[in-house]
Amino acid sequence: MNEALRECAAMIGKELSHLWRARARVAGTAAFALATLLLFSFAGGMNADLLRHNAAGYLWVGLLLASTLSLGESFRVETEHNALEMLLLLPVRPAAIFVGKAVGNLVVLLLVGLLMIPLCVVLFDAAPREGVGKLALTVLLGTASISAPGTMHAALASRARGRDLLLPLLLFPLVVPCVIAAVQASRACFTGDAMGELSSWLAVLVGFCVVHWSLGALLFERVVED
Amino acid sequence: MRRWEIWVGLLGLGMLVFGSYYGLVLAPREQYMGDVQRIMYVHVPTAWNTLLCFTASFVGAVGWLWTRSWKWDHLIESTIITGLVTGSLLAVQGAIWAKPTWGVWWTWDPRLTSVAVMVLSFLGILALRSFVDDPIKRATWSATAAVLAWVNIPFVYLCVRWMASLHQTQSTPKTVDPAMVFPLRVNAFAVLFIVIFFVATGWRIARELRKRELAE
Amino acid sequence: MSGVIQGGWEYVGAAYGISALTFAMFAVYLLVRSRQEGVR
Repeated sequence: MNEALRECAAMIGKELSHLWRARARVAGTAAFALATLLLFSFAGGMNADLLRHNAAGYLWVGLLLASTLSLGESFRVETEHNALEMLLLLPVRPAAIFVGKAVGNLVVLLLVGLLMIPLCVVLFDAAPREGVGKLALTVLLGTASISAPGTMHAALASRARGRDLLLPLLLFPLVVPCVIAAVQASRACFTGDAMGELSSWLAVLVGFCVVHWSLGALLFERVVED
Repeated sequence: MRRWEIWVGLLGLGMLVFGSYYGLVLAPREQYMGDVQRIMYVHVPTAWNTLLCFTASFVGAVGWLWTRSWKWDHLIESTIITGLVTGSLLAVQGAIWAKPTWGVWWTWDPRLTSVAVMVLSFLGILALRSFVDDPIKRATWSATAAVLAWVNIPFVYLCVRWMASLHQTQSTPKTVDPAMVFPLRVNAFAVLFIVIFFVATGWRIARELRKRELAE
Repeated sequence: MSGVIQGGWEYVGAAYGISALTFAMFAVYLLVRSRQEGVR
């Protein structure tokens, strides 16, 4: 058990140092997400009430669209240099590689998500009435829910033909529940949690994370083996 | 026995004709929804069998990942295609039911929405299968994706139900009369037999295609 | 919901018609396909 944790920590460290070198990629993803927010405000027809009400939805759809770019990129580097095969030669279990990759993707999405919140406040007048901490927790759980199945499917799609098409096709239906839960939780954060529903939605996200992170750790070996 | 599934399919066809006749003509009119409720006798069996089909894909996926025996991959391929056909049909039937009942073609009913999401997930897996050339990778990857998609179904249902319950409550009136249960049960088995015919025929086609692919 | 929904047979017909058509077309597709692929 201890050894497994050490391997995970080593792989996470490797991914994070990779991310630092690829920080232009993170910045690009963030710019994309912010651009989608701007576009959504035009789609909303400049109606202040409507924009405020839909802010949570715009946040998560924008983040989801951005995630397909960053997830795809995270494996493009590996496939282009045959680095995935090299990784498999390392004396670590494949589950640790999965955890490293998924945490790397989680960090990118979390950074982008946290960057989007102030823009939501400015553009949509969606102040986090329930406190910044709860909203940040929602963003953390929501991005963790996207990154586990996202990492699995990016690993598949990156080595198939038509990978840019395939990743959203596989990922979007899968993350429907976490988009619903994250949007409802964020809306409760933005507009006030009058019905006390925030904690139930966060519980759904936790359940989703537990299931998909476990499945990823369990099945990743089969996806990357040759 | 050669091509036994054709006889199963014909049996299903006969039962479907009988069950539908019973449901359309002999069964009593439902007290709130009137004759529109008769759609149920084909709609509910389609729903059960679609779910059964995708569950069979999940079984095939676990079977392939566990044993690496090609028969499981044939099962994945044939159940996904069959499930997509019956699932799309199911969504259309649901829309046809929704229009006279609630006045709109689409309601965010948890079941209708879950079916749409489920069909989309498995459509993605079918696309994945067509984009991968190596048969072993195709089998493994689509099995992995099928496991994820199937495990996700309860999450989708739960989330849509909770979300919908915050905005509107929609009741589906249900009064159960034995004369309504009978045609429903007949048609459930009828569609099951027809689906078995579809899956078995698809299974044979998949086996033939793999045989040729692996020989190359 | 107020009162009984009157009529609606056109919807019932559409639902059963589309179902029959879908099953028939898929069966024909599978049979033609299995003949093409030389399934025994």
